[in-house]
Amino acid sequence: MSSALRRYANLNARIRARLARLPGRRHLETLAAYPDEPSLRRELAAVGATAELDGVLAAFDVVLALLDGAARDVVESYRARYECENLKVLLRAVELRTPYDEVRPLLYAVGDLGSGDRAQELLMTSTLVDAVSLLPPVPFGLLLRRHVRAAGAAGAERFRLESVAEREVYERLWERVGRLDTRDRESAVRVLGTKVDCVNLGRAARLRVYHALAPEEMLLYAIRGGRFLGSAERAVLAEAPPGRWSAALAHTPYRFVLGEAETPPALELSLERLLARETCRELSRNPFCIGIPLAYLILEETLAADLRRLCEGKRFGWSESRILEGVAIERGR
Amino acid sequence: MFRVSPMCRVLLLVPRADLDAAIDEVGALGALHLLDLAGREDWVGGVRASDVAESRRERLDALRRLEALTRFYAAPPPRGLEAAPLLDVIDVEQQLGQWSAEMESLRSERTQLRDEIERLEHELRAVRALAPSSVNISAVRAMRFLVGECGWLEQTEVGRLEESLARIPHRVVPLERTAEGQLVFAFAPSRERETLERALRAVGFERLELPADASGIAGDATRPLEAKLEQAQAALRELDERFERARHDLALPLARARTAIERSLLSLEAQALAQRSESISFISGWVPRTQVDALRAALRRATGGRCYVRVEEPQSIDSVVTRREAVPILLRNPALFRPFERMVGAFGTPRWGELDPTPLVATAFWIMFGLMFGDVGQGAVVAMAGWWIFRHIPRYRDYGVILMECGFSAVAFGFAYGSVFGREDLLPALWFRPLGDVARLLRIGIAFGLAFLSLGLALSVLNSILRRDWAAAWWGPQGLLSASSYWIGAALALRWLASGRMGVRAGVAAALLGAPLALLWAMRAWTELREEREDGSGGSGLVAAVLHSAVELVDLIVRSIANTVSFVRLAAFAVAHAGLLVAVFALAQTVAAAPAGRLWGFVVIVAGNLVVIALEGMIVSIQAVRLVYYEFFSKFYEGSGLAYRPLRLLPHGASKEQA
Repeated sequence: MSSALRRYANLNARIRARLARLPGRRHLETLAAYPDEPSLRRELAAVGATAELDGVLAAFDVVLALLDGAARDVVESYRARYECENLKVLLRAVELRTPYDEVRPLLYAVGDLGSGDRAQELLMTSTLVDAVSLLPPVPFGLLLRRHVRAAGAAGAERFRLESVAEREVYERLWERVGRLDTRDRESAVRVLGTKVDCVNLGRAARLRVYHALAPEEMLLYAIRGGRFLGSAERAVLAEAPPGRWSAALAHTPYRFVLGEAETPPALELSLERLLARETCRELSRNPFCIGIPLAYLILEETLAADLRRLCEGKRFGWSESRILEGVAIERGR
Repeated sequence: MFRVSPMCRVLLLVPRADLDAAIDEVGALGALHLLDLAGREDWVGGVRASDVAESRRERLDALRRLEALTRFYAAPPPRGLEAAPLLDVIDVEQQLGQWSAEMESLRSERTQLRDEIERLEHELRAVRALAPSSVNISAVRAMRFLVGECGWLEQTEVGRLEESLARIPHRVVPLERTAEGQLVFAFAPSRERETLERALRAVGFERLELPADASGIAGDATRPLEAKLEQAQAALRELDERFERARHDLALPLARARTAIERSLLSLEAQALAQRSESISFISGWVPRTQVDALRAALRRATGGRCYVRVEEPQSIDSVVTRREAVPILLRNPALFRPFERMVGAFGTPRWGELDPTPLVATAFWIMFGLMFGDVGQGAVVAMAGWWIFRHIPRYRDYGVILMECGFSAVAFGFAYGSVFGREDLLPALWFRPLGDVARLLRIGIAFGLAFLSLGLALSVLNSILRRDWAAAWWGPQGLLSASSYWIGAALALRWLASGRMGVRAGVAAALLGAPLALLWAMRAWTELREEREDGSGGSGLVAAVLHSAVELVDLIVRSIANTVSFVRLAAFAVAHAGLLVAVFALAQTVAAAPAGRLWGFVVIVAGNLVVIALEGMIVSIQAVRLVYYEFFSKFYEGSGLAYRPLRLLPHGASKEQA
């Protein structure tokens, strides 16, 4: 047995054990029936699930500990998205002058910005330009500073900086995927390619609907990479209005999703469900490749997001059915 | 020694017109600890507080402006400040306006020049970047149907830009690759200007600003720009020189201005404490008895003899006798003990009528340090370090003296222990060797503790007598009854430790020890009952009073034993010191077996000694301070007095004020 096979076998065993403990759809429905948020959180604690940010990062630690080489690079690059999430949270906080104490629970303990010192330093600034000037050169400092300079007197808009940073993270991830061996690359494209497509579609909808960007700008903020969305599809997303996307992308599995959703959040939820289905399918494929850990990580992320939605729904006093409408996991115990 | 400087309270009456001059003279003398007169002197009905708020605001504003100037000029330390005459604060305020205007002019000139240089550099960078491609700037400017933008973007973004502009006719022409990225010219039809600009912004395109007056081939435009840049840089250099000259020229005036403002502020603080009637100002304060005549003379000088000084002895002041008013304390000790006033002051200032413990603290500290750190060589090193600090760091002169004294004590005990840098074979021990007789060292530690604590108890009794607090002197927690039971107990314990017998029968010993304790118990209970009756609280009755005093008694006994045993640390640290040095020599011996072993052995001994001096020296000092503060002071010293802080208006430099 080669070392790669042995490693994946070991990882697969660990992941299967952890998957068995994850709450499924039926469990989520039971949780949605809890009377209030505190009782829900108590139940979550009792079953060892968590809606907090560190739960997902712990799953990454488990996977990373058993990987090396190009496969490990891919997972690390995938985790780097949380550095981007930290950046987005901090830029918003700078713009809204939010104090550090309120921001702290929203930061993932990953990368430079996840550390208290750097985040606090950034929150001392009062403008996006100042905040960007304080960022470490990599992964985002140099890139965002260039865009701030390019914006010149017009001033840097937060959503543009966020879009550029997010694009950078996903394109770097896609570049790492390209370095995998054939078997791993195929499975990574199935999982991460679908993920990148979903992100691209969601971002395109938001940039078009909420920020009314012109096609050339849409194209520049689009992520180059993905499973079904190539340059032709990206051009369609940039130029055609969202209502015509479904027809224009009829050859992709996203056609139904694009046809049903009416708003960007609804589209994102549908895409999340589609991604969850794809990851579940991947879990039943070849156990000796990177697809399994990637699918598991995406499933953990989806589940954590669902649990957060449950808690938030309970906090706002929503009905059980309304809460479950927003849950992405559709199957399972 | 032991007693503080006698103080007198004075009331100074001066004409209102002479108040400023009087405060200046009194401040220059530096002897008057000011008192706030408001509400203190009943007989001065109808007087008002001096209104200095407005003047104070003005001075503080002037000080802020001065600080801004000092920061701006980063003024170097002034020379000749001591010899410079005092400035008038009114002149200072006028000059501040002039200096501020000069500073603003310099600052704005500098900013303009720097902005100009930055713009020229940017333009020059643009023209230089275009020069190798021989771009015709005039031709680019003359385009009517095309719009062209030149600038840098990431090499990897060129393709992305091309893709985003695919919908419109366009041309992206890569030129040079520089440190800033890929230099490109992007062209599009004029009607697509907005599309092009949106795309360039989203791709992170850093636009290259061409100089407004440049024309022809890019390479030809560099020379005129370089000339302009050189000119601007020369102007900035000249401005920097002007600034540097101003920085040095203003150092002394700024320092003098600061002194004048600070003095004026202090004087205003003093005036705020004074009261005034229609024509007279009243100042009150405490002054050392020896300075009364000097104060009188100073006032006469300031007022031309039109003044009145009333002097009162503390014993004759009712508020002092009844402890409603504190007398400021000026300690008075010989030079050898004076540095230890800091140690006493850090705990607290003695109260008026209390003994000054500084000489005892100093003596005990030397002995304890020597006992724990006895070594001729290391003591000499400590003393030399103290000498160096004494000579070269005036601010820490007191610490230098303490180090020298402790060093000499360590040398003396080093001879007693026969130890030189840890070697015990060079000198005979005049007394004994610590590691050779640890039991003896322990006995010495305990004996020292007994003597030291007994001294504390005696001082407590003496302080109570000086305060005429007879109850505390007899049956206070550290009174005569408590002290006598401690001494009897100590004597019996020492006898038993020395010979295994107490020398008296157990019954007699119990009676000797029990009698003062029983009396103390009874008197404490009686005092509590009496106090309850006096304040009319009724209290909790006889049983509770007896129980309270019993608990107090047990606490007193336990604390006395703990305080005494605490002095075992003297022996423990002396043994640790000697033990550490033994370890250093053992290590040196081990190393000596290696190649070049003798050299390495020597290095180990030197380094080991240095570590021991630094580490042990610090630990031993901390332990000695601890024993003084917690064991000795807790017996008699309250340290709740008021430190003497006279108004002091120094001619220049740091002015000190009364807190």
